[in-house]
Amino acid sequence: MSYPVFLATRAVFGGLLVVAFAVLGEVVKPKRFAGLFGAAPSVALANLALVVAVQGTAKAAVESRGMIGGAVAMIAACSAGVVAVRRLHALKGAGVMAMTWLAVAAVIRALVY
Amino acid sequence: MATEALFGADLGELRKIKPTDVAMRFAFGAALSIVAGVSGAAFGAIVGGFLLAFPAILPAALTLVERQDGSRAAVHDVGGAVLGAVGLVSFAVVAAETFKRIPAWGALASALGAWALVSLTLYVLRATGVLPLPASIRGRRPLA
Repeated sequence: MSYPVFLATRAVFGGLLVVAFAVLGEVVKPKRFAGLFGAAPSVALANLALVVAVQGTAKAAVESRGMIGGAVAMIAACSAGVVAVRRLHALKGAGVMAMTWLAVAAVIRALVY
Repeated sequence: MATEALFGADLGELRKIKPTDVAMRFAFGAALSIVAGVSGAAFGAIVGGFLLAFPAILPAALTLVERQDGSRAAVHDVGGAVLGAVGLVSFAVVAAETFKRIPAWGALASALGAWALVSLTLYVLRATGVLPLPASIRGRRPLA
């Protein structure tokens, strides 16, 4: 599989699984339970499956190791998001979450990996 | 006083989903997958792995929830995402540990199971009051 085709397939699989988990999140109640699906491993599941198929399990294991750091940054980002969304509303709150994730991920990358 | 069920589903919500919202979420997921793939090729698989846990999906979800159900519901939504994010750590740990030991499908299924188990356990503990809520989201829960 050529690299552009590999990337395009990752994109399609990633997009489809995000939509699938998002629809699930829309259907379930209450909101706090639905919120779990906002941090579902949709992109990870699609991408790791494809990495395994094309590049092998060793590469997928390394990506998963990196994902541990990203997921810890995600906890920090969502925790900051609870305060930020309450004070700044959803759009700006999401911006705060993205900045928090980038900052925490950069620190973890520098200190741990 | 009405008590809120821990779990529920309303298939009628499917009718409220707009094609543009679906398209936006697909675009976010596709874009993040491409960025993770390109970053992995350019900076190594560790960096690509980091990006698999980037919160790219939440902005679309939060703005949609806020528009439909109000700010408080959006805060509760992101509060739930904190628990899902803890589950995401367990997904990554299980995947990293099992890919080399068992067949890939088993590793992915185990990782997904770990995410569901950890997230749901934390959710039940919090919803039943065993796990205290942060002050910022304490109070009446939206029924929506």
